[in-house]
Amino acid sequence: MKIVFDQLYDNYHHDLYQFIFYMVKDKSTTEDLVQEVYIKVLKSHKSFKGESSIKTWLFSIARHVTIDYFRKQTRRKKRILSFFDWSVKEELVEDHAFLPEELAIQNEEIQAIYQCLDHCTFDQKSVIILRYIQSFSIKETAEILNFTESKVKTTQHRGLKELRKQLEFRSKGGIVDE
Amino acid sequence: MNKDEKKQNLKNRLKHLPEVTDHRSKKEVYQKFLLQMEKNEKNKRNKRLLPVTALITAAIILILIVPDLFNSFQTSEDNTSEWTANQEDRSSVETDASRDVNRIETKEEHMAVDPAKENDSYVLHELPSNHRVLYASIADEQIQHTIPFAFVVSTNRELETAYNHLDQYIDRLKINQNQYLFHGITYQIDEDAKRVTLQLPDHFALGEGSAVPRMFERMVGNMFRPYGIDMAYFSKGNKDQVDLGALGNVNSLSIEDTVKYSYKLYERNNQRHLIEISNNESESIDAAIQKLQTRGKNKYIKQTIPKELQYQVSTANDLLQFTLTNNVELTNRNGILLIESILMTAKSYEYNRVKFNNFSSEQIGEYDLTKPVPVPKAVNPVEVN
Repeated sequence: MKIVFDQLYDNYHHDLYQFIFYMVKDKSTTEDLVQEVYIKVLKSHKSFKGESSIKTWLFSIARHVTIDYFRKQTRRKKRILSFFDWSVKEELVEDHAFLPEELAIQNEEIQAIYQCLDHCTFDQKSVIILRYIQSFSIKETAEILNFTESKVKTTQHRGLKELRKQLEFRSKGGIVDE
Repeated sequence: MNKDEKKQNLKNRLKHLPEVTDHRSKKEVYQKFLLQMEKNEKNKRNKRLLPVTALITAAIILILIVPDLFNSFQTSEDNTSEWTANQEDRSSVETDASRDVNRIETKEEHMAVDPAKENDSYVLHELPSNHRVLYASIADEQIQHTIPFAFVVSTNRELETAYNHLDQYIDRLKINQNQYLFHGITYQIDEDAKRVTLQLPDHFALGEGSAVPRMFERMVGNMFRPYGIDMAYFSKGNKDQVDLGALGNVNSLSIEDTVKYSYKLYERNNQRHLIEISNNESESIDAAIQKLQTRGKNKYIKQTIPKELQYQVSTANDLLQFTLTNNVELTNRNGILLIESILMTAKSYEYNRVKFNNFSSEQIGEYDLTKPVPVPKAVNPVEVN
């Protein structure tokens, strides 16, 4: 098990961590989810059929783990909100209020992109992170997300459009909102 | 700058988002991973012990049922029940409880303990001003399912103070003390930090097997999850680590996501409450409602939808629609039971409203069936003065 872990860690840990971080935007949650990915991968690596590369397989597991995390979060928020009757917006704003040090030292433009990513849908955000932050090809992105290549292109186009819209709105002094 | 240039510019800027790195060492990541694997394996092993646990539980149930049937022949059999905390104390409480069961046969006493006072309602829709709900649960007599209660207490009293009176509130229910797993526990609640500490009494023990510890874990969740508390800490004497049987030696338990339930009728000793029947994650709302039409093996747990009634269920966003497809006359009492069990089941599945269609009457109890009915705030309310 240690050998497989070493291989995964040496080859993919950094990319995996980065992908999950940009999806959830919280380091401690990222650590937990990365660990969950390792557990799932190491439990099932013997049954890996090699139909895709290990890298795309690993990232598709990471994506599912992240989806599960967001589902649990949504359920939890709904529960709390229904009991305390707080507004949904307050909850959402609070989540991403802190910038990690790597982002905090960047210029405003980069910080704005980072913040506006949250206005994309889950799929759009996944495609943008994989394509531009992780530099995956369209084919690799399609394999990870289980999309066709043309769906990746469409989602990418729509995601960039949404991001541009939010950035322009923000630059005009508008309050970025849902 | 034209559109294409803007798009290219954005792509370039995206590529310049900074690299975020994990500052932990490889060794640290691996150690954490191993620990989690070990924890998962332990949980798995516990599941394998389930058949043995079932046998032990069956034995415990027999021990519990026999004295219950023959109240006057209360014997020392109860003391053999492994999970019962403080056997001597329990034995005496047991005798008191048996007397109490006899006492509540009179109508006056029954009214004092029955949470469903008006129109036989089982739920709470509106909280009186300056009041709040104190959540608690007891087990059914077979220690299989949970019966939740919502004690309505004045907000003049701190939540922590109210919880530290929970034993007294539970006493009013006149239940068999074996059904209440929190006897003698004191609570420290920090509402701002969203944390609760349970100080367990010296006699506290959940015994071997996983059924009772799992139920205890579920009950802790039911009690404190509604306040947004997601972690419960434990202490016993001066120790911060406590033995929770199959859950291990722990100092805390994370309060897991809500389990989904079907709410059926629990009827015993003239008391009627809604009881939670837990469903698998894969069970849909349709399956959950179907369960309301079936009787379980436990004679005290009953269906809330008459067998002969035919219906369809459909959903749209937060609305559940329950439509009758045959004509069945319902008494007011059965109608309220049907409506409220469906409302609570729908709430457990995160629906906010239920529309009841094709009922022969537009009004059942307090419910105006021409409009969607909002799901209740809580179930089995008990007013505490």
